Amino acid sequence: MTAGPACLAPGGIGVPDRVVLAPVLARWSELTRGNPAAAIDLRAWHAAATAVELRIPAVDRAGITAAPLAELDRGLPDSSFRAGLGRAGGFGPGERAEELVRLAREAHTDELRACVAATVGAGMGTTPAGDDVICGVLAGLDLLGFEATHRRLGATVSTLLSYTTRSSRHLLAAAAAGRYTEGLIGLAAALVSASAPAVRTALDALGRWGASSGLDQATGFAAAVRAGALVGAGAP
Amino acid sequence: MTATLTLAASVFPRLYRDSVALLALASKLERREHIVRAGVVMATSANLRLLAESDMLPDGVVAGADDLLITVKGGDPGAVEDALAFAATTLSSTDEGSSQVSEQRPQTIAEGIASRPGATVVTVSVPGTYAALVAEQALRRGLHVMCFSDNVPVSDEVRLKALAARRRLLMMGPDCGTAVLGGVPLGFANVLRPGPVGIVAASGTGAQEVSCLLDRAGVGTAALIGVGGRDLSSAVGGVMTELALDLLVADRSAEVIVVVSKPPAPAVAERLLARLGKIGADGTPVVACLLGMEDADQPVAVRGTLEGAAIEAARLAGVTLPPAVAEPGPGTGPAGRVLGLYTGGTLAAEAKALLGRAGLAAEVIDLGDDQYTAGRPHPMIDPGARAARIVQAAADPTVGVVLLDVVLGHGAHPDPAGAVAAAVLQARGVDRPMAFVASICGTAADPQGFDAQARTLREAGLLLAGSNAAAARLAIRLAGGAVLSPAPGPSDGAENPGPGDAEGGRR
Repeated sequence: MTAGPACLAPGGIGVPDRVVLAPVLARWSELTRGNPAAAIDLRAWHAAATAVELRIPAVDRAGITAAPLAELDRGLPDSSFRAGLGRAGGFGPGERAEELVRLAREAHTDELRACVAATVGAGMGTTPAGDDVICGVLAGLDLLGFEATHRRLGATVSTLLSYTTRSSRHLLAAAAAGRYTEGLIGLAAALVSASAPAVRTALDALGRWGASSGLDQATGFAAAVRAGALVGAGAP
Repeated sequence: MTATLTLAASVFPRLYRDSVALLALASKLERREHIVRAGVVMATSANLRLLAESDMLPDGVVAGADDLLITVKGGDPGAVEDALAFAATTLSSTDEGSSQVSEQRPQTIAEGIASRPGATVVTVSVPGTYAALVAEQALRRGLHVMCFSDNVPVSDEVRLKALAARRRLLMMGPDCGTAVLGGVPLGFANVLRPGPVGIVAASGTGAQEVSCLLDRAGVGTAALIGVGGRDLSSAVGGVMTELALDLLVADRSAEVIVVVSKPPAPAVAERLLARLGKIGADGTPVVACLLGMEDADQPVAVRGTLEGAAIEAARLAGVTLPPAVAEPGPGTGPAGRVLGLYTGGTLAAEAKALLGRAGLAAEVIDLGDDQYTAGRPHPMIDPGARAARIVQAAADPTVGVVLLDVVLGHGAHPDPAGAVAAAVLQARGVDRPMAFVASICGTAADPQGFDAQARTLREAGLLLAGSNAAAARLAIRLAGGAVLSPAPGPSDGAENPGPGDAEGGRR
């Protein structure tokens, strides 16, 4: 569940603001303290919800121009320092995303599996940074219409879902099935619109998703799109 | 040097926390004495491997992907144990806090009034969609309303203010950031000494700056009544400003009255100035601080800057506000444009007006504006977003001077100067000269402490000006612009800053 301007997740419920969400969160907090009586029944919420299909329509990659892509790169944090476990280790999301794209595109099955295994569940938070990067990469591949590459990466991820947290499992499974957070879809739409300010706005919105989750998603997305833009016609 | 380090871990099964909270906890742990490193992560296999690779995973830890794992390494076993205990307390107190809030706080206006029978004011800070409803309930029960919420439709504001005016009740807001009534601060509010000046404000940080400049000159405030940023628009028509003026005059505690606003709609301005002229003629001196307008003395004293208004109000209260509020600083500055990164909207507007008058192509960003605050706290509460922008500014070679405000008081961050200073120190890593200019909107009695905050800024090498206007003028000079029209009021004194009174260093 998300509230207000926070972006919608696939299969999630968006409510107008945090006031509506507050009693649910209070219940949730009791649940996490081991009070099973504080069950949350979301069936009525689901019944009342309007379903939104959070998919990215594929575009001709000739339609993606350099200016908004450059704007996207400018808006991303320096990928070398902020990731994983912070000072306790980690990886650069940008480099990792590029590696994932390359391995998936060139169908290096074993290396891809090893790389995905090192990425799924890596990093801080309930949705670790590695998972966010993968979701972004999958969204970028989807936008470019790289179906085979998307399928390869998605299938590999699907076999490794047990490596991460419950909420990440949900988001990764959705991304492997071609469904993404509202923020990522907004970013894809902005990129296609070829408007640099629109890219900035979409990045700002995505930047409010978690501590760094949204920006990690954007980093993965940018890496996939960049790699795709470099590939000549006739790529996967 | 090799020292024996202790490594220990705690596992919290199936505990989820937002990564913002986890990051905050990790950095708190690492700042503890004798602690070298801390990891606060979900115990996924990738994270366990990363921890192991960086020698941060103690032997024998059993945890799964849905468990929260905290590992701490330190030079002293007791400190490591204490840190883990601290982490456990922090994580559980978040739980306690959230559930208690939902159980104990009154959930409705009726419950609130029942729990405080003598109350006369209701503060409303629910989301905008519901604010009008709650405010109306309070007004109908005969209470004044201070409505902190924004995003309330103007039609609701008109209706609520008409209702309030009929009942002679204050409807402060919507989008009213500050008020001080009977010495009680509401919203973002500075700790002001009691005194002779009554302020009616359609702009929150504007009123804060005026009252703080007066306070630091020894002139206290009788009352500060916020009316919301749209009160003097043609749609609302200044209804609440008029009522607030009536109440201030009737109360007789205000010997000088100041109205602070951005320039009102022309018809409203005419009515307001006529009303102020009448109050003046009846014996209470008035100052209209209408931001960006030309200064005038007839028929009513009009000042186009907050600083100008404070100087005039002080004069009317019999105190000379020394022009020391202006200018430290050298004559020339680094190459590059001026970038203003503001947390206070009216302070940003004042800086923009002064920079504009100087003909400088400057960018002044009000980070408290809706477009920057959706889904996150106001930058006066959470300084993180601005800190990031300060660091970004250093990476932009076109920026030479960064202009900042630091707002103190209740409601504001406990150490805004610390956040600015840390960001500036990081920004100074760039290999080119830059100047960082700041002013503090606050008083000696504010919880953050004016002097301590000033010291923090100076130590980080910021140039500190005595007012926001002075900071803007300093930025103009550093950027090589001419201070064309620095509020030509007789007592402003801004054109002739004393030489050599720079308060900070500069790279």
